[in-house]
Amino acid sequence: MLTSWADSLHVVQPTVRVAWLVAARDVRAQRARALLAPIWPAVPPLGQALVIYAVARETIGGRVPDYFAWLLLGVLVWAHATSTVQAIVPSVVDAGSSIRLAGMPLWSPPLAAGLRTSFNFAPLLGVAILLAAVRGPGIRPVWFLVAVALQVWASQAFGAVAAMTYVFFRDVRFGAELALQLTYYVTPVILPLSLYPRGLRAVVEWNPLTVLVGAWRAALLGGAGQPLRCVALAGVCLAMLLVARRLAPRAMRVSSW
Amino acid sequence: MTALLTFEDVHVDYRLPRGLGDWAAGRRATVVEALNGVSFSVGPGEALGVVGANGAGKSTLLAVAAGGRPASRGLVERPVSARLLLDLGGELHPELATAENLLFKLRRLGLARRSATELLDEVWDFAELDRGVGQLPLRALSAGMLLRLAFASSIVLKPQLLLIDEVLAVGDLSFQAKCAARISELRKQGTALVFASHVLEQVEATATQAIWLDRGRVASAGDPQAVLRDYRAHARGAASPASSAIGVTVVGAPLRQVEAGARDRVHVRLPEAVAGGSCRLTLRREALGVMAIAERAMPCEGEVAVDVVLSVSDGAYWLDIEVLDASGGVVAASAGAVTYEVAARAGNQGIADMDVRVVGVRG
Repeated sequence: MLTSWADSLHVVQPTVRVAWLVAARDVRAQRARALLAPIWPAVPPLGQALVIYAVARETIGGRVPDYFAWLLLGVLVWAHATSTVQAIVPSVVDAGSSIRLAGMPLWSPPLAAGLRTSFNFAPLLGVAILLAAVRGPGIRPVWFLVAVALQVWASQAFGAVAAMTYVFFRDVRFGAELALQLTYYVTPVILPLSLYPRGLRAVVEWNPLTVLVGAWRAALLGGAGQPLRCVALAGVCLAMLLVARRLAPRAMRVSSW
Repeated sequence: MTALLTFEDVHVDYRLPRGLGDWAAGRRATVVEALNGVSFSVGPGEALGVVGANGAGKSTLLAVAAGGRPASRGLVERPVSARLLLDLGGELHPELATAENLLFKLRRLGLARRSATELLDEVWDFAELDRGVGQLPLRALSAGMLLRLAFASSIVLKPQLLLIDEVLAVGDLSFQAKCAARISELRKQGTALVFASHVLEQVEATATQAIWLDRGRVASAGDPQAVLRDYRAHARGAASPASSAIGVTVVGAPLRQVEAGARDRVHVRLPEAVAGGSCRLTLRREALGVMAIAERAMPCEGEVAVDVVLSVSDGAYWLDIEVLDASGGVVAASAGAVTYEVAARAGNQGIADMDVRVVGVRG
């Protein structure tokens, strides 16, 4: 058991190194011959936030102070989580020949997919931070670190389990997309928690994305943070990463990738 | 002598994916034995050639040797730093500039940026390509250029253990010779080579030991000459010409020795008249499959004489003859109607070709 953990730690450095190289390569490839490439990933969430703001400003805006920044953060967190999980799910299977034949570490492709997505979202995060700095109460550094760490940790954990399960069942991609879409409706992205039906509030409160959104709003908009729920989510993510790690050797024995 | 790669009774089982119907019916997953009790050891400077039909387990053996597939049972030993599978660019990105792709590949294999940049010059020199090619996106390169660069970028790393899957014959003849010389040079420096190939002459010329895999099992192992003799005998037996002839008879010797490029006349007795018919001749080679196909319209009745010119490398070939009706349906056939033992001729090592001319008809 100890040897197994020592082996795991031994592969961390090459895994991260290769993930970084792959992510950098993919971002460069994405930007090759596309003049506005750095802007494109930020356009859909920004556009979504603007449209929802235009529609809901009259009805909801009055109940939430600085509604646009509040809304933009929610959309940004949800869009990042969705994009990351969607990128991670097929990453192991897609890099099959590199893993099987060219010695690429197994966990590098999922990590690279997460890095690439985060890199794409960086400009929009910059906009959100700027907005918070100008209009909000200012950045709370501890909550900011918690929010970044939790966002990365949760996306990787959910993505890793999905990527390993995807090796066995290709349905996972469709299931993950559906689950993320449904989760959107029970995350306080557009509506504050107080506007949800009473019977649905428990679901909304314990939804992992709600915890993430809450951490970001605590960091940038002075919202009330929920440390216990953040710790619980981090624990659930750790358990998911352990499940993914247990699935990995079985996935390597599957012939279909 | 310390072995650089050792397999001891290695088994690899694949579990085939189950469909929803299989789940519902409670059917267990089918397990395929890709490797079944494979053992060998390769030391510094040695070359192990792996032969076998498609699906015999050659690529699985190399993937296990590369560390990309775990063995289900048995022992695989190799020095951690001594493995490199020569791949032809599976992880490269077609949109990126070629030089950038090569840098990525070298850095992915563990080199620091500076070392990778320095080694890049060696890659261009070995591949004999202009450095300006480096600015082109990878997708703009020809297949031949890609092969050269893939080989060059792998070989410059001077691995201790080189694993090659059916890509030893890279590029044109002069580049192939250069690659062979480089591999030979590396072996003299202690690199061990494990390669899978369908080109048996290459195995004969390169390997110090060989393995013939048959459905995952080692059917024969040891001296390359003996292993290839066994393999050839098996391959000929598997394609017995007499057993599958229906309605077509070749007049004359079924086994012929010819020189590459020389003309050979084949007299074929055909069945009753087939209106608007044609005759299709297919040239096959052991393990490699179809090498050339020629289809000619001709009166499909009586005896037809055709001249066959084989522009191929040396080895054993089979000629299949099929009679087709006007709609293209096969009405008569003879698989392996003639077996050719072709002797090499200088300048005849290129693409396999077969020229067929109808020279006489007797009703």
